[in-house]
Amino acid sequence: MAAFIDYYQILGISKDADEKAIKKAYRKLARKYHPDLNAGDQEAEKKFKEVNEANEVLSNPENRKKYDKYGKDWEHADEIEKNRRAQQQYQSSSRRSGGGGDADFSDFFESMFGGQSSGGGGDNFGRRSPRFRGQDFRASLSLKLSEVYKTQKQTVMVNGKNLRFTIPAGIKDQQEIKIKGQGGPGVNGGPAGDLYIRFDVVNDTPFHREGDDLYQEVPLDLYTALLGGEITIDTMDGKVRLKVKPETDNGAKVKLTGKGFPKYKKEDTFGNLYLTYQVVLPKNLTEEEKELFRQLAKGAVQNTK
Amino acid sequence: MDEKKYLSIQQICTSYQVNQSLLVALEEYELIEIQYTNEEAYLGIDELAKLERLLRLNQDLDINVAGLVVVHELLEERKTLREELNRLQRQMERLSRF
Repeated sequence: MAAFIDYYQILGISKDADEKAIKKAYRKLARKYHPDLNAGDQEAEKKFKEVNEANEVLSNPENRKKYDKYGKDWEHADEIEKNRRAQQQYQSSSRRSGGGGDADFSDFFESMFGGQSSGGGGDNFGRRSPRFRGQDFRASLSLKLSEVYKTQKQTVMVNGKNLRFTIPAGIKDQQEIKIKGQGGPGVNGGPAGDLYIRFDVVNDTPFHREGDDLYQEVPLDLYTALLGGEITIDTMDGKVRLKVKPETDNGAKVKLTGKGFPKYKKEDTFGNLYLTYQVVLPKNLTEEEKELFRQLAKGAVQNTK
Repeated sequence: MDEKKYLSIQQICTSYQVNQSLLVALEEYELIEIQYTNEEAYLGIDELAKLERLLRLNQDLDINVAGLVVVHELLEERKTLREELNRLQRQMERLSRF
């Protein structure tokens, strides 16, 4: 059975002491016995615990009322048993909800107050163990540009655990995504760290990517450039037929709206595809072709005169 | 910077439930030494025990930062004196044997 403890005696105050007197007595004794000021003195440490426990009870009006009611009749067995039974119930329902957790209280305190801590008396005896967040993990994953055109799921192995996660379409090269809580475990109940995955996006397409826009140089034969016509080009999204205006200059640019790369986390929105025409001159001309070009050249000279 | 030897100030504030301004004040009074990089502030792990002691004194006994400086210096002085006392006692014991 837990032995009765006279908290008033511990603080050296009378039973009718007011809040101010309790605080004053507590401060004086806490200063006197504080373990950091009495390094290695086990007696002081014990006293410090007692003083804190007394303060825990007496500085909290609710605890003090309860202690005054049952405490003085502690020696009456019937009362104790009744009280204990009630407290056991109280304990099991409220023990874990207490704030401090690891404060070192006497059996008497535990049986009466169920291991609760600091009910608002303003003290901070509860030795807060530092709660540290777990370590963040970092990993990198290599993907092809053609793969990140569409949202996909990937499975990676992190610390022996398979982790499946979604990679949204349009992710950029060297971009990191954070997977919350999948890093190292926390210390003393602290939260787990996060997992950061960095993506190396390797370009396996004929396009050059800048942000969400794609760029490509398209060869154009001289005749189509001069006379106009239709060409077929490959985009990320499949083949597209394109009209070429007559007299298209070498290096002319065309913008295909919405044919670029998907925008990250913006579903169904895309950048643009910019094409630059590279006019290809005919090679290995036949004598007949050369003659025709000579005639054209004469006309061209006259045109410029 | 070797990450294993340092903890970010932010992490310490969360773990010990203290305000960053208290740590900055402790540094201003040269009780702890905070390392700064471009992005964050860190405290060496070897300073943690001292920090914990300062936080306990601050919280348990309501000692403000200026008071902590005095307490810290007196405790250090007491430690030195104790060591000196122990050394002298051992010396005296040896001498008394002759």
